[in-house]
Amino acid sequence: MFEKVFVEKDILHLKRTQGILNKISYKKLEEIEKVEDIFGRVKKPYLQKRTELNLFLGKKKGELVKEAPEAYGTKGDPHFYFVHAYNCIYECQYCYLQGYFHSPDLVIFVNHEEILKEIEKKIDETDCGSTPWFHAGEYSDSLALTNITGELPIYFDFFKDHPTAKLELRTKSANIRELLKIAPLKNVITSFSLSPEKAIKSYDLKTPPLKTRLKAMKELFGKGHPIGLHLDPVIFEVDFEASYSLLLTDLCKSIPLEKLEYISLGVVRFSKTVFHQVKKNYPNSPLLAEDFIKGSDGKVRYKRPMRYWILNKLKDLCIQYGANPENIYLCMEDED
Amino acid sequence: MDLLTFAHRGEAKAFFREFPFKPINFAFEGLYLSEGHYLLITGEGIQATSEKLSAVLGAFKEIESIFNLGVCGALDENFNEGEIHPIRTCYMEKNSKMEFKSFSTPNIDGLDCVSAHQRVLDTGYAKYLSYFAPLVDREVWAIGSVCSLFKKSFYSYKYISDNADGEEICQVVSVKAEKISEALLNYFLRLKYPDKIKKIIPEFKGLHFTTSQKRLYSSLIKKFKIKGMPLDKIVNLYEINALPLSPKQKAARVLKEMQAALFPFNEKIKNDLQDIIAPMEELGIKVKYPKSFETTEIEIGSVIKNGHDLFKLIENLKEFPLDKIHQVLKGRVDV
Repeated sequence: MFEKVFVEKDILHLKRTQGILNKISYKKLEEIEKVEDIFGRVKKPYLQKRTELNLFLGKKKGELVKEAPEAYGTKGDPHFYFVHAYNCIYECQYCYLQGYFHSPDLVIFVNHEEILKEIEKKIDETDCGSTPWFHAGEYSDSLALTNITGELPIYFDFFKDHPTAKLELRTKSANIRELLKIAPLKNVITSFSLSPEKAIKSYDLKTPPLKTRLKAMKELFGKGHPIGLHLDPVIFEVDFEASYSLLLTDLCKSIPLEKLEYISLGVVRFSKTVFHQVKKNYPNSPLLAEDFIKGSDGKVRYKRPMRYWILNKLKDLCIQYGANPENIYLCMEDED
Repeated sequence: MDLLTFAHRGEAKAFFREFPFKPINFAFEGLYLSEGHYLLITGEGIQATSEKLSAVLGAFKEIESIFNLGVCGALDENFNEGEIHPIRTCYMEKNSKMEFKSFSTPNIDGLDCVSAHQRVLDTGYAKYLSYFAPLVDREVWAIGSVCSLFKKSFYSYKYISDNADGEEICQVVSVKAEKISEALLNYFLRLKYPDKIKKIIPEFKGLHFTTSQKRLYSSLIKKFKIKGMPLDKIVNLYEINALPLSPKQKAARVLKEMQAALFPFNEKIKNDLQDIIAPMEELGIKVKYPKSFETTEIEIGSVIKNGHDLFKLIENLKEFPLDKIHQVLKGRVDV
């Protein structure tokens, strides 16, 4: 339940806005001029999301589609992400959204048509022969609230008409209700971020258990939806190999690894600011007992030999479990 | 030592009765001391509170925690007059704009409070403030701000005296002083102080830790605790103490063993590199690699006295195990 819902006056009357309001419960509704008048105006501590979460509904302004950082996705193709929400209902201890917006409150934007116009522009600008990728969920989980926000059919319709482009829906949720109502498209990939069950319990607070996510993957795959996998962020444990072997064994029961569109691997990393937030928000997190260093790019992470050791071990494991080596890529890490 | 702060003397009335506070001769009036507590009357508003609290915290270093007690107005009809709430996060409004910075107390279950620069006289203004917090006062943000500057922990407990309808606060306090102060005192007396974390400073006889080593020790001890590893079963302090080493060397040894226990992978990398480098060192070639392992650059050093030495070095370098070192630095090790 939301404490307060702030809605921009201009969109309050929209069917889409009313649809969202009808599906949620809240204590108070406030009409406002612009989301940015209230959201992020004061520094609201991140963990207040546990007891007092507000929701903002508005129109996204400014740059709607942005170029993704390097090594964001598969190599060689241009990658973009689009922003249709801020913040997340989950609470992963390593998440960069901690403090990113200076508020943990959720913002949902409803001007999807404008976002799609921008996506279309990017597609038109892309060289023939390369595939532009569009990622949802840079600042939010792509699926977690889709039964409330209801935007999936709009994006599927668009990408059906633009088969040369690809859409990635990235999630830690198991909320596939809306997806199951839609006919699958080859160019819309739902990718799941997974960790061993123990790591999920320790670090991915409030996310669905591994079993539930694997079940969701199986169901979606069964309906013909293309599936991607992110084993990212990997956090080292003494039984690292055993726990990932178990995870891959369970995953293979849901989907053969060779059927996955891609597998991305990444080791846990933080910006200096985010790491400071982790220390503040989770002072007893096992993450703080790890042997991290601040790298030349300013990121806090494991030392280089350990990062490479983890990624190589994991890559070997995935191959051993049937993954196609060409479909494995290392996220945010040089591969040499 | 704790410092209790009140905006108005009336709010502190019961505290003066309960504790034998005596005035302190200071730069301004309003500072008192009893056994275990200082008490400061800050006056109303952000500026007065900031000025007086800064002066007191600057002068009395023994003050560790600040407890702000006083009245506030409710911006939300769900909260009623007479209730006392711990404050969680405080915000500030100035000239109808919100200040971005906020300050939080350790009371995560408390309510948020916005410190307003002016009295809340109209409903539009009250509504705007209510977007950010359910309570409004005139001081707590200043307390948070000064405490953040001085790195002191602060707590705030607010008695709801009205519904932020613009009533003169001084008047409210003077009329209801007895009742408000008594309620605040009772609340304060019931409070349980959070356990203070004892600072961990190694005090082993026969070991000498430098300042940076003490810092490292504290950080490693914290990691031992997080991982639930018993230090005494992992590092044998008595054994290390009995070694024929200087106190500084013994301290370094303790830290080394702690790191090895916490980060075995790192230890493996170091040992593997040492094994590769050892034959070179026997030949008089010093090899340095980056301690952080972040690059694959290495430094080689050797003393050359004559042409024979140079020839020997060139011959030995032909066998230099660069590939092996690079493999280790890229994590190609068996763990």
